[in-house]
Amino acid sequence: MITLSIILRKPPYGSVEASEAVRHALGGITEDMSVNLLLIDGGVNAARKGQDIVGTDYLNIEEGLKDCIELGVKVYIEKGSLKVEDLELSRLISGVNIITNSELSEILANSDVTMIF
Amino acid sequence: MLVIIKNSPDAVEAKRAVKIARDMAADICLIQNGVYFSLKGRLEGFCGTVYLLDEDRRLRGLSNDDIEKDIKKIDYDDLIELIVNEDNVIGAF
Repeated sequence: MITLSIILRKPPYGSVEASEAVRHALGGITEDMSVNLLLIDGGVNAARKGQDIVGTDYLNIEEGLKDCIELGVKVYIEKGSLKVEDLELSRLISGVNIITNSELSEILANSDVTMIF
Repeated sequence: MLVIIKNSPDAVEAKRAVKIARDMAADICLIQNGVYFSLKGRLEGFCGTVYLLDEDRRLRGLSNDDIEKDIKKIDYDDLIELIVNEDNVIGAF
């Protein structure tokens, strides 16, 4: 089984990166790959609870991440980035895994393909 | 004078915009990912008025408790008004 790792570095809604990362993660898991979605830097904000898209035409990234988790994508959040972004664990959606930078490197070392957004 | 910021605080452009606003005693307007600057402690020591496009704050799940108290929340119409009435507008960084 192919292991696909997707790194998201950018916060949601400011650009297409977050929605593209979610789209490719869902694509990979439905193609029977093992998929890791790794949120670092501003990307950790994609897992912030309470994203309100009412009145806009945006895809809700919070819901997209929940769908990923439900379908078996392993969503990881890098601990150091949470600190920089002042994002507390209580403000995150459930089902995500908090990892250190060395654990992140290990995941990448064991991946067949890594995409960066 | 008004400086409009659309990039998140970790972006070089955004850091430069805050510096320019400080140096020129300008006000700041935060849109898109710039709204992350409204989080407590991000704009410490900034003396000008800070405007925040509320739809972009709400979209990103930043609650009212997360942001600085004296930030002025605006909507799109207010943003247009601000841009039209300001004598000098720079952006968006």
